[in-house]
Amino acid sequence: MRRIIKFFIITILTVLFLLGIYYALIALSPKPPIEEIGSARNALSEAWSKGAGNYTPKMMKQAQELYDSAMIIWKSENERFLLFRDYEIVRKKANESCQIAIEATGYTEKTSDNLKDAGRARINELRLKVLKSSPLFSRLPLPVKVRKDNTQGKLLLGEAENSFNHGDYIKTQALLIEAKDLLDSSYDFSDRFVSDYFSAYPEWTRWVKKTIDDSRKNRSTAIIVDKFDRKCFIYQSGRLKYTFNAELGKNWIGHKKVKGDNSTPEGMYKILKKKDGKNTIYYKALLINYPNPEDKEEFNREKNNGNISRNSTIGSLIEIHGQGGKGVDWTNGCIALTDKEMDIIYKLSAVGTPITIVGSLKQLNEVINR
Amino acid sequence: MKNKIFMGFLAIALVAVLTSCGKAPQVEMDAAQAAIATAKAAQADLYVPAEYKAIQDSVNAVLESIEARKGKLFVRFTEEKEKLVAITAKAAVVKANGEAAKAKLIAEIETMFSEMTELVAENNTLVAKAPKGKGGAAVIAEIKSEMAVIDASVVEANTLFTSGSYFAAKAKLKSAKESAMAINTELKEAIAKKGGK
Repeated sequence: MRRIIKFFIITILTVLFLLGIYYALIALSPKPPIEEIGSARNALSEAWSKGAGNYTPKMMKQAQELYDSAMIIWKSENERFLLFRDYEIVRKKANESCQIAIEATGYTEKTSDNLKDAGRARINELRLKVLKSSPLFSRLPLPVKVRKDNTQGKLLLGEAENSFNHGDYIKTQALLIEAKDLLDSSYDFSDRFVSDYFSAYPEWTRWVKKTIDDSRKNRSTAIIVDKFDRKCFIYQSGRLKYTFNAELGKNWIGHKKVKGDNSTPEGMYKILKKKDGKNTIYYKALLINYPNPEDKEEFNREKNNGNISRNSTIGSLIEIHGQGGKGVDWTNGCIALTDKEMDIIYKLSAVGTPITIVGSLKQLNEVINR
Repeated sequence: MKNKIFMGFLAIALVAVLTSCGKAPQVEMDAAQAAIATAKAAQADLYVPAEYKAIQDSVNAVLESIEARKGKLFVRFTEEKEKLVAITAKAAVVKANGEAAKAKLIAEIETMFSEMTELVAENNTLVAKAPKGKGGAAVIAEIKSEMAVIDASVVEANTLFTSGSYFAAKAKLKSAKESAMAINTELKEAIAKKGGK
C-alpha cells in the first residue's frame, strides 16, 4: 500500500515538474511578431488596393520586400528551439514595411485626389475650348496639318476622358498633356489666322459706310457681301432691302491674290456685265470689275516683293452667280446665290451698281464669341 | 525495478507529448499558392483585381497564422488546412472569372471594331453624297483628312488589341468611334441641308 502511494506521489511530482518546465518554456520564449506582421499585411493590402503600386512603385516594392523578408525570417526562426528564437529583426522589418505602406497610401490618396481634380478641370477646360472654337475652326481654310493635329487632339481628349472615368488619373494626365498641346497649337494657329485677317476691319467698315452713304445719296442700289457671315445684302437708297445666304470660294479668308487661289476678292467693285441665258453656265451672273486698278497695283507689288510666284497671273471673271444653296463653299472665288435670289438681285442691279466685298461686318470679338 | 521502468516510460511519454508539434500543412500551402499563381497567369489580377487581391490577402493571413501557431506547443493546423483548401477552390473560381471578364472584354472590342468598320464605310458613302461644287473636292478632302486620322487611330487600337493590351485598345477605339460619329452627324446634316434647299 505504501509503495502504491509512493508511486502516485512520484508520478504527480513528475507531472508537476514537467508542467513547470512547459510553462517556464512558454514564459521564457520570445513573443511571436503576430501583431507587427498583421499590421504590415493590412497596411500593404490597403496601399495596393488604393493603387499605390502605380503612384509610388518604389515605396511599394520596398514595403513588399520588407514584409516578404520578415515572413521568411519568421519562418526560419520558428525552425529553432523555442528559447533560442529571436523575432527582433522580423519585428523591425514588419514595422518598417507597415510604415512605408502607410506613407505610400497617404501619398497615393493625396496625389490621386490632386490628379483627379486637375484632370477634371483640364477635361472641362479643353471640352469648353473645343465646343467654343470648333464652329469657327471648322469653317476656316486651314492647312491639313493643323486640321490633323486638331482631330488627333480631340481623339486624345476622348481617350483621356475614358481613362478618367476608369479612375486611371496618371494615364489621364499624360493623355491630357498631349491633347492640350495639339488642341492649343491648332486653335492658336486659327486664332492668329483670324486675328491677322481682321486687321483690315477698319478699312472694311469705311468701305461699307461709303457704299451705303453713296446708295442713300444717289438713291441707287448697292450690294454688300460679308464673307465671314456668308451674307449678301442688297441696299436701295441706303436702306437694307434683302439679305441672302452666300457661298464663296473654298479659300474664302483673305483677299484674292492670284488666279486659281480659290479666294473671293475684297474691295469696292462695280458690276461690269450682266449675263444670262447662254452667256453663263450658272443660271444668271453679275460680272464684277475684278481686278480693279488697286488690285492690279497690289498684284504687281506683291510679285516684285517676291510674295507671290513670278509665274503667277492675276485672277479674273469674279461674279455673283446662281446655282448656290449647296451648303458649302464651293466656288473658285465667285459668290453663289440660289437661282431664286439671283432673279431678285439680277433685276435690281445694273451695270455700274456698286458691290463691296468685306471680310466681316462684325468685329473680331463678336465673331469669336457668338 | 518495475517502478523504475514505468517511471521511465512516463517521463518519455510526457516529454513526447509536451514537445510534439503538428506538421505545417505544406501540401495545402503549395496547392493554394499554385492555384493563385495559375490565376495570375490567367491575368485574373488584371481582369478581376478585387477578387484576386482578396485571395492573395487570405493566403497571406493563413501563412501568418501558421507561423504564429508554431510559437506554441500542442500545435494543430486543422483550421489553416481548411482555409487553404477553401482558398485553392476560390482561386480556381477567380481564375475562371478572370478568363470570363477577359473574354467579355475581347468580345466587346471585337463588336466595337465591327461597328467602327460599318461607321467608316457609312462615312465613306456619305462623303460621296456630300454637297460638292467646283471646289467641293477640296472641302471633302478636309473631311477625309480627319477620317484618315481616325483610321490611323483604329489601326493603333488594332495593334494594341493584337498585342493583348485590351484596355488601351478599347479606350482608343471608343474615342475614335465618338469622333467618327461626329463626322457622320456632320455629313448627314450637310446632306439633309442640301436636300432641303
